[in-house]
Amino acid sequence: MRAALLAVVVCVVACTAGDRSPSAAGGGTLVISTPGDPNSLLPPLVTTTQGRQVTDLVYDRLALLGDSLNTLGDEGFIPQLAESWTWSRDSLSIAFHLNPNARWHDGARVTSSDVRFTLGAYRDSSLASNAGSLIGAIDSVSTPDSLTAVVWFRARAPEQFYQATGQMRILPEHIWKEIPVASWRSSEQANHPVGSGRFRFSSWKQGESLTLVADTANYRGRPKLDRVVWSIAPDFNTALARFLGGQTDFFEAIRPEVIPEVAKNPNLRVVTFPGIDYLFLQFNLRDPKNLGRPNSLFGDRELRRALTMAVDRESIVRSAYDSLAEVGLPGSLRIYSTSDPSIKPIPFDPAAANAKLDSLGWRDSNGDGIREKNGRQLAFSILVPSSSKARGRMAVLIQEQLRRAGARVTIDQVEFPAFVDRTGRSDFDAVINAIHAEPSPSGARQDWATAGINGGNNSGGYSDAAFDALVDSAIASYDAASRNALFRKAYRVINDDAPAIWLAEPKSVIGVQRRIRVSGLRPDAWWTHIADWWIPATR
Amino acid sequence: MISLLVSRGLQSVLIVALVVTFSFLLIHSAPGDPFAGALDNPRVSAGVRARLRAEYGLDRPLPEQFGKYVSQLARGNLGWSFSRGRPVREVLADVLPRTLLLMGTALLASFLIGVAVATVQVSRRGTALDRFLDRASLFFASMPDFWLAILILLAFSYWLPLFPIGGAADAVMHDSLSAPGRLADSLWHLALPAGTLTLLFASGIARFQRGALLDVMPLDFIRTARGKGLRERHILLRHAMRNALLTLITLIGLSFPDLLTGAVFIEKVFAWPGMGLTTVDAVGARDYPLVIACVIVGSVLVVLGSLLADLLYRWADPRLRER
Amino acid sequence: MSKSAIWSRPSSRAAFLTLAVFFAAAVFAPFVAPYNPIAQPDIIALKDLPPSPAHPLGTDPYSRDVLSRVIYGARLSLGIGLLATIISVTLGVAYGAVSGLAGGIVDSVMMRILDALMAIPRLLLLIALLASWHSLPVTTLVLFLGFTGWFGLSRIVRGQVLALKQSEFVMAARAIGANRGRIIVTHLLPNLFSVIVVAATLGFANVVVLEAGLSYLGIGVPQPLASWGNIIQDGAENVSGLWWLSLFPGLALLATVVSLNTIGERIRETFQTVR
Repeated sequence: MRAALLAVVVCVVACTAGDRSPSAAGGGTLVISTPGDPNSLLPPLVTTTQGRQVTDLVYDRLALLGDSLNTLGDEGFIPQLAESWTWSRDSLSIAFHLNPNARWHDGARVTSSDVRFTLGAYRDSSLASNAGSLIGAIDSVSTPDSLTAVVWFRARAPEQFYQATGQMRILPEHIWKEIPVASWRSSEQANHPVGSGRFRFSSWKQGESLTLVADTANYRGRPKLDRVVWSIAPDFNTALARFLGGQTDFFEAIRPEVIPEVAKNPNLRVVTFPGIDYLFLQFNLRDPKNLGRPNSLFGDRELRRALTMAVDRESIVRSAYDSLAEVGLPGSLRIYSTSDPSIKPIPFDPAAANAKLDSLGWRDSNGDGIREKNGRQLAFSILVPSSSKARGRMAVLIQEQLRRAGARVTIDQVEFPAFVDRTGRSDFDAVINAIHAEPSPSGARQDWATAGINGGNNSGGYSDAAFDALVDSAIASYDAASRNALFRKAYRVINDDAPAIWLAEPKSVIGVQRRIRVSGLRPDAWWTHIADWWIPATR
Repeated sequence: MISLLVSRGLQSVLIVALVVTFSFLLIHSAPGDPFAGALDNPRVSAGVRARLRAEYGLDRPLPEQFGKYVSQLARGNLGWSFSRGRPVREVLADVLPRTLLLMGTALLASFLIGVAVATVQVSRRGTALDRFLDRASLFFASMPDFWLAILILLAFSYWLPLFPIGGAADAVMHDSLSAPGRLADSLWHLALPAGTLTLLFASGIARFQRGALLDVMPLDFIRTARGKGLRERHILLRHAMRNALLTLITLIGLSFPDLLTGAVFIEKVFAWPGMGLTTVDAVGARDYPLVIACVIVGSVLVVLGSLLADLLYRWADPRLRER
Repeated sequence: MSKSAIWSRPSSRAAFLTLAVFFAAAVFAPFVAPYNPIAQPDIIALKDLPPSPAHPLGTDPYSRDVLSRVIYGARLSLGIGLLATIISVTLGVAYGAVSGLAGGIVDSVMMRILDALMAIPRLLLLIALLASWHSLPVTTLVLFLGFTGWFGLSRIVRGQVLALKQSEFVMAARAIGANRGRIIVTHLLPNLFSVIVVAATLGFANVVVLEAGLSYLGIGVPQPLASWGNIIQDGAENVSGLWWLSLFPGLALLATVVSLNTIGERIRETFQTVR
C-alpha cells in the first residue's frame, strides 16, 4: 500500500516536472522570477522594471547603449533598427539609415515614418508619457525616404545621440494610428504588443505569467532561446521556493538572509554587481492637498536638516541590507564618474538634531514625547510600497529613530500600483522612493531639477535655481572635466538643502541556474542581451 | 414548492440589492475620491480628466452616480480594474472559479470527514478515542486560519517538500503538459490549501454533528427502534443520522461566509490566485471597482448558500414536503 | 444553573487559568515585560536572534524583544477584543430587542436590513472598510470590529423577544392591564443572560482571531504597536528562518481561543440542560 502510494507520488512529480531544456539544435526556455506584473507593455507608458524588461525585448531602439554605458557622443552604441548613421556637419541632425530587413512581428516593413510616429506618441499629452522630458532636446523627425529617419535637434548637446536613441522604442505606426491616442492605455493592442525585437509577445496572464517566444525570422538573427517566461510571484517566499526548486531560472533582488541557502545549492549561482538604484526618504516640499503651496513642515530647510541628523543611515542600511548596500550619495551613484566621495553627508548627530529642533521652536510642551509648535504636532506619515521588504524595514527603523527625536511617524503601506499612483500625484508627506537611475548622471535633471516636477520623477517638488543652473550647464558641457566639476557642485547644493534623506545604494544581486549561459549583464539593465543567452543541450 | 422558491428568490434579490447599495455607500464614504487615480494627475491633460470625470459621473450628485452604477451593473459591466488593466468582469471570471473550486473541495471533504468523525465519536462514546477526537476537533476548530496555513506551509513545503509552494498550477510548464499531467499538477497545487481549509471546517462540523446526534439519540423513535431489537450501528446510521442530517444541511448552506473568510487567508498564505487573494490585493491597490465587485459577489454566494440550505432542508425533511 | 458544574471540569479550570494568566499579563504588562516593546536597542547586532536566555522568545528584525511584544500584544489583542465585544453585544441586544418589540413593518424592515448585512462576509466587509482609510488609529479599528459583530446576536435576541411576547404570563399580565413593554424587558434580561454570555465569549474569541488576521494582512494594528497578529506579520517574509515570530504569538492565540471556546461551550451545555 505504501509502495503504491510512493509510486503514485513519484509518477505525479515526474509528470509535472516538465522539460525546459533545449533540444540538440539549441533553444530552451528561460524562466525569470518577478514580483509583479508590468504596469503596461506600451513603451511610452512603461514605468516599472518589469515593463522595461519585456518591452526592451519585444521592441527595438534605433541604436542600443553600449555595455560601457557611455552616453557622450555615439561611442559604443550598438546598431539595432538603424544599421548605420550619419551626423550632419553642424551636429544639429543625425540621419539614421534603417536596416532594410527590419520587419514588424506581423510582417510589415519597418519604415522611417514609424520613427516619426513614435516621437509624436512619446510627446503626446493625452498619453502623458513620463519619458517626455528625456527627449526634450529633439525637435522633430523627418523622413526623406522610407529607410532614412533624420532626427533634428534644437541645439547641439553632448548626449544628443543618447537622447535620440536611449528612450524611444519604435512603435508600428500602421497599428497604432487607427486608434485614438486617448484610448491607447486601455486598448486591446496595449496588452498584445507588436514590435520588431528578437522576441515576440505570446501571452500574458495577469498575476501569473507573461511569455515571449523567439522571433525566428528576425532581421538581427533569431535568439538562441526559444522562450522567455516571467513567472509572477509577489510573495518573496513563494518566489524563492520556486527558484530553489528549479521551477524558475533567474531571480533578481535576492535578499541577504537567503544568500547562504542559494549559494549552498550546486545548481545555482549568485552574481553581484554594482547597482544603479538608489533609495531615499523624500520629503514633500509642497502641500499634498494644494501643490501650489509650500509644505507646512517640510518647506523648512532647517527642519529637514534636523530630521536628517536624527537618522542613523549607516546602521539602517546595515540592518536592512547586511553587506549588500552602501549608504546613498546625494543625487548620484558610485558608478558615475561624477560622484564625489569627498562630499560630507549631513552627520548622524542626535544631540545636534534635538538642539536644532528646539531652536526651531519644536518643543514637547505636554510631556507625551512628541514635539509641538503652535499647537501642531511634529507628525507625518511615510509612504512605502508593500512590495519592497527593504523599504518597509527601513520605514520602521526610521520611525523609531525619529520617535527618539520627538517626531511621531506613521507608516502608510500600500500596494505597488497605488504607491506609483500616489507618488506620481505627490500625495504623500514623505515617501521612501527608489530610483532606477539612468546610465547617465544627467538623469539628475529629471529626478531633482525643477524641470522634473511635472513630467519627471521629482515628486517632492524640490526646486532650486542654483541646482538647476549647475545641472543644465553640466549637461551642456562637452568637456569631461568641467562636466564633472559642475555636477559635483550641484551635488553639494542638494546635499545641503536635504530635500531627501539619502538612504541606500543597493548592490544588484541575482541568482541564476548554472546551466544558463548568461552574458552581457549591463548594470542598469541586466536583461539587455537575453537574446544572446543560451542553454547547452543536456544529454 | 414553486411559490416558496419564488418568494425566497425575491427575498434574495432584495438582499443583494441592499448589499449593492450598501457597498456603494461604503466606498463613497471613504475619504478621497474613489476613482481619483489619473484624475488629479497634473500630467494628464485637463481635457482627458474632464472626459474621465464625465464617464464616471463624478461631478454628478450621489444618487445619479448610484443610478449610473446600477444601470452598468445590470448590463453586466462591473467597471474597469486599474490595478489589473482589464475589465473587472474578466478578472472575476478568472479568479472566482478557483475560489469555488477551493471552497467546494473543502466543503465536500469537511462534510465527509466531519460526519465520519462525529459518528465514530458517538458510537464509541466515552472511550479514549472519543476524548481524543474531541480534543483534536476543539484544537483545530480554534485555530486561527492564517496561522494553521503558515504552519502547514512550513511543514509540507519547507521542512518536508512534498507539495509545491503556492499558485494554482505550475506557472511555466502547466500549459505544455498532457491532460492527465495538467490534472495532476492542478491537484497537487490544490492539495495543501484545500487540505488546510478542510481541517478547519471538518472540526467544526464534527463538533456540531456530534452534538446533533447526541440530541437525537435519547429521543422516542430511537428507543422504539432499540425496542424492536435493531442493532446499534443500524440505528445510528439510518435513523439518527437522517434526522441529524437535516440540521447539518442547513449548517452547510450557512457556512459559506466562514468558508469565504477562511478562503481569504488560505489564498493569501498559499498564493492561491482566487477571489479572496484578489480582494486583498485590490484593497491594497485601492482598486475600488474591483473591491466592490468582490464584496458583491461574495455576498451573492452567501445569499445563494442560505437559499440552497433552505431548499435542501425542505426537500430533505419529509414532514415539510407536502405543501 | 450551577456554577460549580462549570468549575468542576478540569478542562474548564485550565481554560480559566489560561485566560487569567493572559489577562494578568495584559494588565500588568509594564511590570512583567522585560524590555520596552517598541525599543530598537541595536538594529545590527540584536536583530533576528533566535530564543536565548537574554531573549526567551527571540528578537524580531528590528531588534525588538519578542517576549515583551507578546506580553504587550496580549494587552492590545485582548483589549481590542474586549472592547469590540462589549460594543457588539450592546448593539446586538438593542437592535434585536427594538425589532422584536416593535413588530410589524418596522420589524420586517429591520430584519431585511439585517439579512443584507449578514450576507456580506465579515472579513470582506472589514477589509473593504479598513483599507478605504489611510493609516488607521486603534480606536477606529475597535469601532469597526464592534460594529460588524452584532448581527447574529440580534437575531437571537429578537427571537427571544418574540417568544416572550407570545408567552402565557405576558398575555396574562396584559389581561390585568400591565405595560407589555415593561414586562418583557423585566423578563427579557434574565432569560437572555445565558445567551449573551455564550455569544460574548464565543464572539470574543472570534474578534481576537479576526484582529490577528487583519494585522497579519497589514491592515490591523499599525507599527510600532505590538499585537499578536502583527508579530506574526513581521516574520511572515521568512517563515522558516524566523520561526519564533510565527510560533509564539500563534500559540498564545490558540491558547486564548481554545480556552474561550471551552468555557463558552461549557456554559452553553450547563444552561441548556436546565430547561
